Amino acid sequence: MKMDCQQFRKLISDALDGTLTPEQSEAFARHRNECRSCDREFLKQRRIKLYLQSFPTVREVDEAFRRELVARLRRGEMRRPHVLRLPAVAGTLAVICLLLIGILFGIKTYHQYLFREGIFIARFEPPGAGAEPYEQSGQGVQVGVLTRTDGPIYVLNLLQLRPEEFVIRLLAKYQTGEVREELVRRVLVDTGLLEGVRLHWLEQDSFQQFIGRPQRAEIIFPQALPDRLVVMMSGDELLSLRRFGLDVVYAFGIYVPQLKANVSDELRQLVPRTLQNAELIDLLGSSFQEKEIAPDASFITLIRFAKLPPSQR
Amino acid sequence: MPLVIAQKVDSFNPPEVQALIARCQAGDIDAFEELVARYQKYVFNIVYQHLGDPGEVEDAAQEIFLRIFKSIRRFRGTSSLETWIYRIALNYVRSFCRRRKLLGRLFVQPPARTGEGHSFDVVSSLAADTLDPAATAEHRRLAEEIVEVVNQLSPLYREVLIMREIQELGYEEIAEILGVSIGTVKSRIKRARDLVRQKVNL
Repeated sequence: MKMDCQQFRKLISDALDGTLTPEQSEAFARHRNECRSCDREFLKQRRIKLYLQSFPTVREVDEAFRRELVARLRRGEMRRPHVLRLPAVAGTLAVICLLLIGILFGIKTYHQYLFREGIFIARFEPPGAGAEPYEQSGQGVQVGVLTRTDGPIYVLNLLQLRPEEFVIRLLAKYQTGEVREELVRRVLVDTGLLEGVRLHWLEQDSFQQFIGRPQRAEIIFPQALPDRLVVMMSGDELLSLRRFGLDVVYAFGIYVPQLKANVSDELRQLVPRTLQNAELIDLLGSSFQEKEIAPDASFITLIRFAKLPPSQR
Repeated sequence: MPLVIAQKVDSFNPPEVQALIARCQAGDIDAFEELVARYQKYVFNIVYQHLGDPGEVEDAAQEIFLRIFKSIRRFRGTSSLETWIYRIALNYVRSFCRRRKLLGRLFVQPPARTGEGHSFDVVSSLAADTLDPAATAEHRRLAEEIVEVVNQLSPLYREVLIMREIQELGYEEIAEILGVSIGTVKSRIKRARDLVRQKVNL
């Protein structure tokens, strides 16, 4: 039986334990004679074994040990009580309390910072998951002013959505590629609903990299958000927004105002007196006919959001 | 069936040990004292070599013997008494090490005995000092380095290496104590030796 170095090294442990078969033992010894390197390796491992065998051992145990053990048994002391090390316990509790206070203070300060800076934070999930609830700040409501007096005014009546929810939803739709950048720019950026989105890799003038990359983003809103706004839109944009407005799913913690029964009547009170006679077409109402909208035509559109609850005004 | 058990018991423990076990199982404290006298060095060695902390050995040994006293009624003689004691001692050492990590900063057990020093003597069979001081120093350095490396091994390998190299237990006995197969014991020993060899500077 011929043995190579690899086989030899695999058998060193067995050789140290003396469990080689006679055949293996003979081949092992022959290889040691032929290969100096393997022989040295075996001797080193045997040296370690010898050192380990010289590990200290207990030679004698005092009589006192047994006497005390038996005395304990006779007294029925089967368990020694644990003694609380008071300074250590007090110190540990103090550190835990300080940590908790620190964490609570940090959270409060962070909330105050968000509120002061008017920053909303939302996490964009993969398609279908929707946006999470977010911190809300900003004071007052800016009233939108209609600037054109001619032609019909289309009203996108998103009474279930607050403006910031609308922004986040639209950005999420943009991220999943369901709406175009141009629409995001016109509806969110040009109207002042959105001041910016902070992302590490965002280029100066493009939202392009935002698409299809779920990640945490800081959405920066203006100090005050309007509850309505007027924007020029093409027909297909208007229809896509209408569809978007209808499939809203609410996340926990989002305020949902009561819908009024007669929406159109309330809308009439929103527009300036000079427009009392102008035609209002409620895109969500029963009077709307989708076929009237030409995809490439432009329309004045009033987008109406839910009002902030009184406590947040 | 009782006959079969009796035969197995006989095969694992000598008659005098079997008689001692029977008396201990009947709650005889004098018999237990005899058992302690017979196995205290054995238990001290297990604890000393696995725990590596002389200051804890006596307390640990006391607790182990108390556990033995409490559970000896459940000993059915399906292994040797030594193997059974080893298992109890090793389990105690393992749980002691876990507790020491978790609660060592908060709780302390009062010393079991008063007075200085230990109630046991330790002897090292390391080669006696030679005439050559340099060689003696090298011996000691190497021995300390090897002990340090073994202490740093994970318990999986440390335990098996101590059992095999220091306590010189057989594969079968180690397998029985650890509740694993002989093949597993062999491969762990080999791996442990390789790990020590890689780290020791020879």
